Amino acid sequence: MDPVFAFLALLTTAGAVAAVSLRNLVHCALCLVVAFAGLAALYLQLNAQFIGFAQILVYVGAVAILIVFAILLTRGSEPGNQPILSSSWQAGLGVAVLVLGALGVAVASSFVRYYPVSPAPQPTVRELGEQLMTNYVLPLEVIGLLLTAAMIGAVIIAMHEKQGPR
Amino acid sequence: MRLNSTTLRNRSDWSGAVPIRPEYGWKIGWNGGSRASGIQTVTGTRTTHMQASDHPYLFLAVFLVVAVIFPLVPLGLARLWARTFSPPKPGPVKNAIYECGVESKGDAWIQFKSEYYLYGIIFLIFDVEAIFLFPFAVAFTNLTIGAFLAMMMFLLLLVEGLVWAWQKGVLTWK
Repeated sequence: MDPVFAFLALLTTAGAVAAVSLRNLVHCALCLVVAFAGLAALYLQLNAQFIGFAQILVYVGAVAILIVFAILLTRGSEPGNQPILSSSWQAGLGVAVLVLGALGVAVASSFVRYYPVSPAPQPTVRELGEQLMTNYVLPLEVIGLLLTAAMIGAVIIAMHEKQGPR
Repeated sequence: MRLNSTTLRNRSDWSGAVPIRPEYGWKIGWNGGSRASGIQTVTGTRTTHMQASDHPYLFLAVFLVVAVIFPLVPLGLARLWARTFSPPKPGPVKNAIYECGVESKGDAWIQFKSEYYLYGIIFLIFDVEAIFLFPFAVAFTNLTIGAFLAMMMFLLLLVEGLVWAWQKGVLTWK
């Protein structure tokens, strides 16, 4: 295995595990940032530059800030006293192993395995831009509409919250 | 930045000069790198031994390592200094948060004003928009007028949302 990949995979997994297992919510959010950054580095390592930098820009930059704001907005001050692990964690582990086994058997017996692996396309950002502005212009406009709707909806919800306690 | 092809050829001989190689960079610039001739392109070579050209983000990794080491060294030195030269003698005065001034009351973990969250949401929306602006900017010189108008339409939709939020007074700080 590629040592760079191994290191990045380890970093991402460690960040994700820490994000769900730490007690302090802010620490969890910061570990989530580590996991996001590890994912971005994995994308870059797979030679998918645009996705990688988009991941850094959106997830590491904006979504992480939003998560931290959400924590600061909603949290009670002290972390709860209940244990990190749920009381039925053995059952959860069993279900997870079952699902993993079923998926593994399905993938291993799939006909997809016998296809030759096609070489991955390596589109440059320039090609992406040209395709986006010509062939895929309708999805682009739909994305714009969706973003506007998301912004208006979020602002309306947050404004109601603001007017409530006054 | 304009580089003639001889400098490019010379630079491509450097083992560490990775970002100048057009197939790895983001191709921001008018030429997009594709027209810069005279460079041996080595796309898709995956060798088992490690080479700087195979790992175009090696310099990022180096930055990261230095960024971790840089603060850790003074911290470790301070810890070493404290251990050897200043034995711990804690006291209530010494452990007080402030040497002088008003003592803080309550918790620092207060609830934030929701205006912060609104700014965060609007920032996220325009961050996602910026993602689409990058390919647009890189492909700008090859675009038709229709494609340009389509992108302006996209921008107009988002600016409309911003103007709406502005009209609603979301952006004014109270």
